[in-house]
Amino acid sequence: MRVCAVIPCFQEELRSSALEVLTKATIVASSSGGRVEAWLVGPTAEKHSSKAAQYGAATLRVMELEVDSEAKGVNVSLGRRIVDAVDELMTQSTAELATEGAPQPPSLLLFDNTELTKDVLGACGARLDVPVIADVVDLSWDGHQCIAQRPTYASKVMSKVHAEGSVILCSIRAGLFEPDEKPVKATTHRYKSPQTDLLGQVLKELVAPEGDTVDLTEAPIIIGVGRGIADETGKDLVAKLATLIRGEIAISRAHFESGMYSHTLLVGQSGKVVAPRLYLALGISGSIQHVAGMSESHTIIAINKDPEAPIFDLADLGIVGDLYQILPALIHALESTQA
Amino acid sequence: MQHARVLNSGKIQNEWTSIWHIQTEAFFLYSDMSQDRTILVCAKETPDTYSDLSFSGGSVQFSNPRPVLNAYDASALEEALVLSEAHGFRVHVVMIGPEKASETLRKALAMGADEATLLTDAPKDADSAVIAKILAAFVEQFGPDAVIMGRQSQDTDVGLAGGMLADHLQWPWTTNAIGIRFEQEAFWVKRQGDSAQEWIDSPMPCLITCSNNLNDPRIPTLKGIMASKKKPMHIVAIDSLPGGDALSTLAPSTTIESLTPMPERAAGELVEGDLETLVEALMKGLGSIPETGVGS
Amino acid sequence: MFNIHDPYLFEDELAEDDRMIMEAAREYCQANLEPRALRGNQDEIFDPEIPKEMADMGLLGASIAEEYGGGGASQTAYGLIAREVERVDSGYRSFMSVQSSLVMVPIEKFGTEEQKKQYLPKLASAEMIGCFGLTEPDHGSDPSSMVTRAVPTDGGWVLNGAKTWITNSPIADVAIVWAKVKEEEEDVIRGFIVETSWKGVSTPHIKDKMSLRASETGELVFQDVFVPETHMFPDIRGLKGPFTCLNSARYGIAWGTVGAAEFCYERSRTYVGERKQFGHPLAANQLPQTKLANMLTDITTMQLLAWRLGQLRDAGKVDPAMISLAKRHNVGKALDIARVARDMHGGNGVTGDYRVIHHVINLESVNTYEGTYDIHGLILGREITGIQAFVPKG
Repeated sequence: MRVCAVIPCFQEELRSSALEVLTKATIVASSSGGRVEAWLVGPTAEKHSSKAAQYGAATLRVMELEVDSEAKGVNVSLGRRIVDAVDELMTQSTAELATEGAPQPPSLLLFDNTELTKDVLGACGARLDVPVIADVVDLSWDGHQCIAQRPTYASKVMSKVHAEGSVILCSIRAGLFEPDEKPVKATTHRYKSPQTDLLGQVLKELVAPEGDTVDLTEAPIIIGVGRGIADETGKDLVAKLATLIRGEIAISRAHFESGMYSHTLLVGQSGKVVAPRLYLALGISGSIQHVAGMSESHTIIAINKDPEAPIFDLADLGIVGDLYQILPALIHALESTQA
Repeated sequence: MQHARVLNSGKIQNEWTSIWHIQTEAFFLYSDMSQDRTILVCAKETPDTYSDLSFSGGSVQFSNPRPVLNAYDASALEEALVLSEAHGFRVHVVMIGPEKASETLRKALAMGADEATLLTDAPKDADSAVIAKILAAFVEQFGPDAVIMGRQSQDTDVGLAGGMLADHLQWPWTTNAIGIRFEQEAFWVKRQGDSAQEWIDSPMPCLITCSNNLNDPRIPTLKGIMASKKKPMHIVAIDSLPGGDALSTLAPSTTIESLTPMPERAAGELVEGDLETLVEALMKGLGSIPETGVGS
Repeated sequence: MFNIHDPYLFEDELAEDDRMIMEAAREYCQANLEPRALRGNQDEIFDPEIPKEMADMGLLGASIAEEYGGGGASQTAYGLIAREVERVDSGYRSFMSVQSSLVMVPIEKFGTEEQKKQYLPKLASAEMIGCFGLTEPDHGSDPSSMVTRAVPTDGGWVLNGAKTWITNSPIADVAIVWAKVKEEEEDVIRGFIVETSWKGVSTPHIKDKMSLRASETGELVFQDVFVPETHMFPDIRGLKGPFTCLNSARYGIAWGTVGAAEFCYERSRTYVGERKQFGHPLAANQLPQTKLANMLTDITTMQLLAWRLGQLRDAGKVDPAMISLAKRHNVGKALDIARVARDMHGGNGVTGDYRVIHHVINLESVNTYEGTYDIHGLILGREITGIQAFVPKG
């Protein structure tokens, strides 16, 4: 039995979502008596292999992929190759384990839940023709059956999903598990990457606006900006506050339409799903769709002028008042303590 | 071919069944599509998850008892209609569902789709994998130039069917589209990635899944609703598709064992008062989170 | 499962077309009209974009024949649209009712082919706005004693008189005007299509209205207005003309007020669920619960009356007294429900944010216009007893 953390590698540092997946893999493996493998796929796969061992992976399967340097993290170059890579790694590792005299081991493949993964998870499942459970917040596995908990109906309902099979794929929602170091001595296997036919797709342009390259799912402090911030003055106040409390800015649907912020920053059912240490909601009313993207945050603080705003129903701390008065005063207070 | 048929709560609706093109034989002939290129929109009917939700004996109920067109698929359809207006694509919508889903599918025709197919008699509790296999059989038979669909359904939020379908078809695909253009005989799709947006050029045929932030789907007009009665809607049993016998008995690889209310976050302290009180409460709140660096 | 919005599931009984039209109208009204309602009422704004939007949705002349630019939909569909529009504001519904029932209906029913072709498509597309002139300053419930008069002249008529409480008149391009003419020594009421740009027509705005503030109301004043012969309805004579229009509009009101009542009930239900006093939601108390129960019971009767009346109209089996019964009952109940809703909201009930008092004051007008509550009682009384009591016997 093996629990395999599938890790796309294209950045200088491993993303914390990858470490969370490794941590979850070690937890599942220890309760089911399985071994932890890390499948490192991508241009920086070799570089990250030692880090995977530090987080509990005893077997490292490394597949270096050549991708266009400018477009490392995008689906056309890396993502599309992951499907073939996973297929290849599954075939080869199964053959190796069989030649070592072991029967084909039951395998649980764990993925993170980034847009990169969402893009390829279904295709991986179809290629291997195995069960897939997406976006889980908890799971148990006994080598044959997998029982997973996943939020559904815009995060208003928890759904318990059951799957059976010798190979099962799951993606894990980010921000829910503390990455936990658990160094082990690891053996490394290296694989040649298969040829991937990109089926004529070409990356034309990568639009990464300045200050917009942060991946919100990784951020510990997020400042959610809603309709209550309505102009450049408000935007400046938010920017100042973000610097002072080391926060990253996210937006609700109101600002997807206003054009004041980049679309990349959208949090919600149709945007990113985040679970930071702190979600500071500024002028966000708390629509179902937005809440679905941030309700798992560890702490929620909300400022809104409407005391009846639904966001206050889930905020750990609710502040009723005008942002345009509160923010300058708060910024002043923060500056004086930090001075 | 034209005969009365039982639809909607067992009532006979002669007026409009008379213009339905109903055929459940081996397969069916579509309207003349020889000169037009076609976009196929795959749509799903879901509960109105944005209405009030309640639990009753382990099952979920919504205050709006009528199902809706999945919001993400509505965005996909809107985009297909815009492309059709600009480039002359024919828009065909396919939905897997019971016969009574025809009313939701008819909304797609009322919005402006040219033609629709309802695939009925799906295997019980079909999951994304089953749906993708059925759609793959339909797409292979139908041969559209592009498939556009929602990136997920608003009820289950799973988001796997698009990638699965693309892999079955061995078509290029792009997920989470927030912009689509048709230029130089190819689809240019702007996709929202993790930290940037990617403009991807896909040749035909290709598959695109849409974010619902792509557009605001049009509301059907009264004229659109009346005109939808005259548009062809084919009702096809899944077992009559190529390979249909196997499709109609597919077992789901994942099953939902139970649905339970999400543990609710308890509402915390609500602070009202003068500016000083509010800022003090905020400073205390921010200070309690080490990552803000405020408390240190 | 008990549906707390539609307890007897009347929406399930609707034809598919009608239900689709209802849902489209609901989507439009909630997305586009609801956000304007508070300011529209407070600042007396009827957004000039609204007629065009409604026209694009096909909500103007929904049941007029398609060949004249109408929607060709059923009477039930027309009623369902009124319900969705009035859920937002009776003023918006008034605009739509006047355009559809009081202007397009008489042109379709009584007009010549030329009149239909000239006006109906433009009214359906909101290129033209229409109004309806029957009521006069001194003649409200008793229109037969009107003084507006048309006298023959070379090639047409000369019109003199004044009409008041005319919804849409300040923004109207065309008015359906009912006036007396002499035919064989007898005064007969005849209908005319009068364009407001013609010489001698003025449409002063009525100021300081405290109700239906989001809808334009004014007068129609005619001073030696020349009306060409081609602009008279050829055959219709007497009060049957205007009453045919009013029956259509009153039918729309019977449906519209269902929407207003449902709004007030829904707001109250939400409010008492969220508002906590003495440590518990107001909804946990017996008085709010029975108030909501009364509201829902009344709403159910209103829904079923309106729905059945729609079926009867679609089947061509309607008698005007049936419409009186539903108009009187539904407006009366809607007004009761709105007043109770205002009360249940406590102090918040008088603020614009919750908009229940907005419905209360609108419904005060709706209770009065198009036949007051009491006049419809007298129409029913005459049917029941066989004795008319309009003319006092004192």
